[in-house]
Amino acid sequence: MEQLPFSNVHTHVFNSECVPDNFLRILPNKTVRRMPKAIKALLDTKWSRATIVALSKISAKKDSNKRNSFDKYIAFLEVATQRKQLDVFELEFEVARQYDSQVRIVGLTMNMDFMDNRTSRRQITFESQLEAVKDIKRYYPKNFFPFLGIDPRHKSGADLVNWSKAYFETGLWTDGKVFPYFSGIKLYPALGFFPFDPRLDELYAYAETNQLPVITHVTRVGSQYIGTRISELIPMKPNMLLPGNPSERVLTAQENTYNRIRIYAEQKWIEDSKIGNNDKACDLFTHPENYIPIVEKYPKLKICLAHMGGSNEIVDNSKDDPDLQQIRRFDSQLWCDRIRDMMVRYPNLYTDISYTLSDLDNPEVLAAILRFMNTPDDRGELLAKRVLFGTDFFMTEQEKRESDLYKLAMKELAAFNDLITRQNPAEFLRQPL
Amino acid sequence: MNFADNNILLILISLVFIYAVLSILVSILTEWWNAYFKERGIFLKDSIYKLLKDPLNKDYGYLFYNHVTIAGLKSAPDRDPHYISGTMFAEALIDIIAQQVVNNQKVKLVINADGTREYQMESNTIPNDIMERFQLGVSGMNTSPFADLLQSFIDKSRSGASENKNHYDLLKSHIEKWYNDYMDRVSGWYKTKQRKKFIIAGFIVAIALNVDSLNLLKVLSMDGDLRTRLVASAEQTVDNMKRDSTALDNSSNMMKTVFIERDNLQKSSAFQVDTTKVQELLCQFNKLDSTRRVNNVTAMKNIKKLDSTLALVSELNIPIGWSRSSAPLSWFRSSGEKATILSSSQNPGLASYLNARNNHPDGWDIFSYFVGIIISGISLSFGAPFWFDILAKFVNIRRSGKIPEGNQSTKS
Repeated sequence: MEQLPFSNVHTHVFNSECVPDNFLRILPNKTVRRMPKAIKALLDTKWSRATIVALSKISAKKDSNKRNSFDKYIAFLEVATQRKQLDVFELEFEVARQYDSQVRIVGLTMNMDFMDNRTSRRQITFESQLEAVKDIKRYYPKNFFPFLGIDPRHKSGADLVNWSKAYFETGLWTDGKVFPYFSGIKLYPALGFFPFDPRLDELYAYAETNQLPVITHVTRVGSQYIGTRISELIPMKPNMLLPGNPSERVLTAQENTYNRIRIYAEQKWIEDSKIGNNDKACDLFTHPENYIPIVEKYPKLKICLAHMGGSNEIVDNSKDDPDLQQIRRFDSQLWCDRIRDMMVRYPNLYTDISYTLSDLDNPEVLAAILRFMNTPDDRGELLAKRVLFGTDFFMTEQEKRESDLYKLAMKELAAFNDLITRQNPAEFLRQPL
Repeated sequence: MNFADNNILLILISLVFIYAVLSILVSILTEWWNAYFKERGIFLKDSIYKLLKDPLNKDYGYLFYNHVTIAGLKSAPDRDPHYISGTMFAEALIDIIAQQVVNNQKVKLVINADGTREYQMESNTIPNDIMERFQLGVSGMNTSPFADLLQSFIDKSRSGASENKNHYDLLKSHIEKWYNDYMDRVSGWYKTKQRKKFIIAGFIVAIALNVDSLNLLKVLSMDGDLRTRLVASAEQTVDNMKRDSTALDNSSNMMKTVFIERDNLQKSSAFQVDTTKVQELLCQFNKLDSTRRVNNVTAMKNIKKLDSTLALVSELNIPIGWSRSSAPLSWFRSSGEKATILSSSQNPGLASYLNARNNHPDGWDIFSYFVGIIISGISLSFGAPFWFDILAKFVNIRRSGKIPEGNQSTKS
């Protein structure tokens, strides 16, 4: 039997032209958040980056870890600021093709047009970003499988479906096979919307009918809404798409969501901030429980709750974070455990190890991931059959080099390699072989 | 009165010559700044993004820069081209719009009875003719000012098509004209933007070389030797400029001849041309062009210019620069040191002025020093071409007022 292609289901190819001018506000640093444009302008030039690296090397002479982490951050910026989207993809392709020349790389697009409520002078529109992504698909039809970023503030309902058809129902012919330009849907709720938003209802129905998989971001950290009006995006009782006859589980999830919002509001974590301090509030968008109404209404829809919830939700490390400790008092279950429980119950839920795999050298994280994989679901099958391999390139450049991440995963998860890198992705993507 | 030897005119020529020489440094600094921060490329890119921005459709500027012909012009991944010709712009834009049709071929998903998925291409309706594809591309766009503009180009090219000019050529020429007109405006915007940089560079040079214009004026009015030296150098420089300009005109005429001859050759085989002459001219042209290209390497050119400018400044002994014997550093010297500075001066008036300014400054001297620096900063920011132009005019005025030597002797 022919071996299935090696796959990395979680990468990004956007570059600095796709992001808002204030993008650096995603970094949890007050100085950066106060003057993101100035710092971005500074970091956009090679000489300033080289100067900063040189200064940091001098200042961190005795602390090699500090120096390394700085170098890695600059490496991340090098990818993000200097290249075209095609070049970003080719960097990833160079690494991945070492494992399989037929490698399949999923490129997740993100609609960052609504990430900030202020207009950005230099940011290109999402449609323009998608055109460049389509070009990558034309050049690498068998290797690149982009997912379409969706945001209900951009288009909604039937309008959204019609718009997305221009990407899912157009394609190209190569070597006797037809490939659609886009192979799935990417949700990034932390940019400022709830995944259960009723404006997405029609799209989920379309995706279920056409067997389009969904990958969504589920961690407490990452890129988030950086605008100044977070309170407008989080009403106390947001509208929720519900199945015709909502089950007890859906109603509980709805009640929990409303409670969470109330508590966050009481803690003053949903307050408008001039410098985009929305880290806590954006957790509300990405909470795994938000997907229960969707999977109940669309049981055949394949959804990947990416990152397994993130390293800090795989092993509890709230002792260093007073806010997280407070959250644990009313939201005690770790997100990884929530995802596990949901996957046990819902057979079309998936997860991936992207970004999280950078912590595979942490024995606690590794043990927790292995436990997760070896958990049987309601049908008696291991959850490992629904875990996908992904790296989250190039976000992970801040942690480890891409090639090192591949090596680490191949070494630490050797027993599951074939499953997570070949069999599961083939089943999830359902793309022509 | 001999107008040519009028002191005021000589002082003005000397001062303008100093400004002209120092303005070269300002130009070099600005050029370095632009080259280092890739300003030209970035400005051109921003302008094209602005021109092709269509919020109702796409950022065609972004797609334009991603187009293979334009991306190929980059000398490095982060170095955008400084110049894009009208032809290249038009061809790339037509290609991008026409390509939209090719990139939007419909596919449909077929789910087989066994649950397997298969995509199938819907009927291929893409026309072969690029004009038809371009029309389809425009028709497929949402109605927007940019889409309307493209449609107007199509309409104009259709109505103007004839046996000699096909639709595509006409469309290309309309887009080229639109782009070239826009680029004329972009050049104006760029010059305005450069002005700010020239002011900064002017002040940097004025402070770095301690150029106090009021002091220069005073010294030039008192020091006849310096004045004579500077006027002689100024006249020589103007002569050199004229010679260079004539050479440039000749080479330009030669290039024109070459192009005309070449066009004639290409257009009409029946046309009788002197091919030997064309070959000869082409040979000369290539020689000229290759020399120009070597000389045009910015860094080399700037280094040469900088080197000769600094040599000239030092050779002419212009009273600028930082030293402990001149203001403002001399103001901080001890009184014993100050007494010895100008004891050997041969010009008592000048020595007395310099002594007072450098060794015993009062409030006015300090104030006038800062005013002098500000005047220099602003003056230098006008740039070398401006000052050389003024210099040529002053030198011509002086020459027109010069009494021929024969007449002068008769008079005396």
